Amino acid sequence: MVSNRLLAIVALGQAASVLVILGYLVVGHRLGQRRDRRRALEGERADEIARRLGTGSVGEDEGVAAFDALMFDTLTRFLRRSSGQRGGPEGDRIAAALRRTRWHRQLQSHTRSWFWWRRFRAAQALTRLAAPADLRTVHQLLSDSIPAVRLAAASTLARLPSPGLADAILEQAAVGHSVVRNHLLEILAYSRTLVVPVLVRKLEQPTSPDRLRALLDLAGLLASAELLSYVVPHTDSSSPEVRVAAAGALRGFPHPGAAAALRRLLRDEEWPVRARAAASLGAIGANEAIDDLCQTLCDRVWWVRLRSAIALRLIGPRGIRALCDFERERDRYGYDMAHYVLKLDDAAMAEYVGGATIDFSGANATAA
Amino acid sequence: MPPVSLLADLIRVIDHTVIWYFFALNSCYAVLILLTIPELWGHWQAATDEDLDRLMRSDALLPISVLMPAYDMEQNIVASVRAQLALRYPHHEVIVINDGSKDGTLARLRREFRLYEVPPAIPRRIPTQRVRGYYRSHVAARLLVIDKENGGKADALNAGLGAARYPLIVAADADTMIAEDALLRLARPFLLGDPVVGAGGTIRVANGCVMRHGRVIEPRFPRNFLGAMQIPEYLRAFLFGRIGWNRLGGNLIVSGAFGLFRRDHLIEIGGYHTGSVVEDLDIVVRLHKHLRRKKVKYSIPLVPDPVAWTEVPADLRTLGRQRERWHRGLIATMTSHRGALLNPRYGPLGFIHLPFFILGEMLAPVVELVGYTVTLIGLSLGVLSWVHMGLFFSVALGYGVLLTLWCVLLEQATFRMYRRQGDFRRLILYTFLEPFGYRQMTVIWRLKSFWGAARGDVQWGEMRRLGFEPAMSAPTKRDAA
Repeated sequence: MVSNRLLAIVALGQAASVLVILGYLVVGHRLGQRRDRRRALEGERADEIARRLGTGSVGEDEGVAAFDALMFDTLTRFLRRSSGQRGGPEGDRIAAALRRTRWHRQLQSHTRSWFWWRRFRAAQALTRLAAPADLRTVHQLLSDSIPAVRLAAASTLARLPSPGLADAILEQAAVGHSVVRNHLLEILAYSRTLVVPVLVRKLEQPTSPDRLRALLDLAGLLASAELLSYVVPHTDSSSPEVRVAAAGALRGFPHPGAAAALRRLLRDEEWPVRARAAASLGAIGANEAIDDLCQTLCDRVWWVRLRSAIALRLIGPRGIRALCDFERERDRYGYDMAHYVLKLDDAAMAEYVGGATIDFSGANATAA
Repeated sequence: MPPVSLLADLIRVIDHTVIWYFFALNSCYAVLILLTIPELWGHWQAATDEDLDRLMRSDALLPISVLMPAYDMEQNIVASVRAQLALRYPHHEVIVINDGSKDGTLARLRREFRLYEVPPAIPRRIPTQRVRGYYRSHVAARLLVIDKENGGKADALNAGLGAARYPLIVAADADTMIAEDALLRLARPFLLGDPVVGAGGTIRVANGCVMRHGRVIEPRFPRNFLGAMQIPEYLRAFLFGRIGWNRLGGNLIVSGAFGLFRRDHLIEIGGYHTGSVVEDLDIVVRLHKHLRRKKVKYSIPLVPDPVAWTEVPADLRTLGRQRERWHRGLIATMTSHRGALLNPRYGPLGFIHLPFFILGEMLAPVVELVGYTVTLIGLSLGVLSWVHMGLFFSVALGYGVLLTLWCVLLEQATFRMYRRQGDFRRLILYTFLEPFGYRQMTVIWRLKSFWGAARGDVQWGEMRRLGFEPAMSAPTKRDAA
């Protein structure tokens, strides 16, 4: 049975807790304000130390000692802020000093932290401070369970241009979830000279459709001329997903060879392939494909008609004329689409052209 | 044994049962709070990390289709659509579903966005009321308008679901204002490794806030008493009522006003259930059951920092109807999914979620009413003392205050939405006022819902709203200056 004494104890406990929380709220508010002021001051000090280090008015040892006097968060924030502002020899001097601080040692221990955000921040710091000696740590972070940490680790590729690291990132991209894969491909695309030879080697090897799609997406992002001859053969793949990826990749190659392959894909039996091929022909401004695109303007699938009409408008005056001259008697749906696209204003066109690709996985469109 | 003595014993037993129920329920809440702390801490770290924020702005994120059912929204529809189109996200489309509006909603959309009817090139994966037409815009390629016959919110969402072309779906009410960066924040779990099939954002009270062009530019505490009363309630519901569940197998409620789902899973379960008055709760329960049956690893987290602002009822009548409908929907959903209760096949859903929602949420007003009644009878018969009654009420109501204060503390330690001193003081004040009177009113409304549920009532009832313009957008002194 519950006695009044028990109820009284609980009530008193509650009252005490309420008082503690109220006190904490008031004190915490004041402390927060003080902490904000201190952070601002320390940020200014970090900037001043970095400026002196950069100009050489203080030695590295002196700079390290001054940095050591600052809070951990201040230096993390300073590094994030200053990385875009200071480069060249000045940035190198600051980075060298930071690598010798207590903060850096603590940061290195964070690469094995239990908290993902610490590992993430450590990986981010490596993108600004990493030296060849950190390659092993980067590889370890690249296999982290949290995708954001893997992405941060992959970003060190710009600072540590290693073919082995590029290879490892490409492997991650090939097997990762689509969001992670897209991020990794973006990172790889920034290190073109390093990645192209690795990609050529991988495109030559037989591999699964999923992996091949990732490789072709990357080839499209890189759009290096030497990749064209490795992409075109995949337009004949037996996998529709690979043909879609190949058609998408070719949008980066304004070359007669790419246009010929894309024109062939306009007659593919799968509508996502035809839609993607039409979009790519528009992106490369293939004048020679105008007649083929007028044909696909009569396609039974709405998306193919839309992409064909947009491609014709993107091709320029000849394509626009073809849209204007498209006769209603030839195909009513094609005529409607031609006039829909002709009436789009520039902003709407930009949204269509720059918009995300259609999600073909659900086979969303059917015959009109 | 004399009858009076029997009655006295009965009163004592019920009294103690109710007290232990309160202890048990509030201890569950306390556990949820403890689970909320690491969750909230992790999300706060993520939300305040500038590098992660930069990463989230990349084109690599999965594109999103925002579904916006609209019924008789002629006044606000253009501003709402413009606000949704202007959301910061690499790739998103907005699908407005005009659910048989009787006013000029479609006409306004046609005029403002230069709509153009397109052929119905969209398969009907989920049966809905007849679609009268699909429209695209000459000025906003990302906009699709579906005009259909009236079938209710769930039916409209199903029509949008069929037409959506992107792999992620965000269901948003047309009268809810999604914060500009909320979609980016809502998609964050995809970068944190969770096998996400759905995610909920936080709904906050828009009454009293300063707004411009369909956006909240300064959160303020409502001036209306009822609106202010709902602030601690919303804070408690989202900050620990839901975040804590992230660590217990996922949430059971993703708010219908602002939630993200993977389209393929929604289609697999046949979309929204048109017979439900709380389609958001129903669809999440069905998702849990479906994914458990498929033995798929998944998570449905609540992410605290993506915010959508909603206008809460400012009069008793509307508030009562809303609360009655919510509870009626809870009863209907729990009843229709009773087969999953204590069923090992459904894991935490059957052993944690449903028992908690049935015992702790659905039956809570009944137990509370029994508690008040028995205490008063016991007092009048002299079975219970005034001291006992005072202690009982102070413990029962004090627990509520304590939990809400905890939430205020968590909120202040992390996101600090109400930064003005006056607003902060009012938040504390209303935390203490809420258990006296307001709470008892909600008990009455929730009790009424049992009658509605027994009759199989699926009506929403009229929801009177003041609207965002001009009441909440009146220029402030600062603006004037």
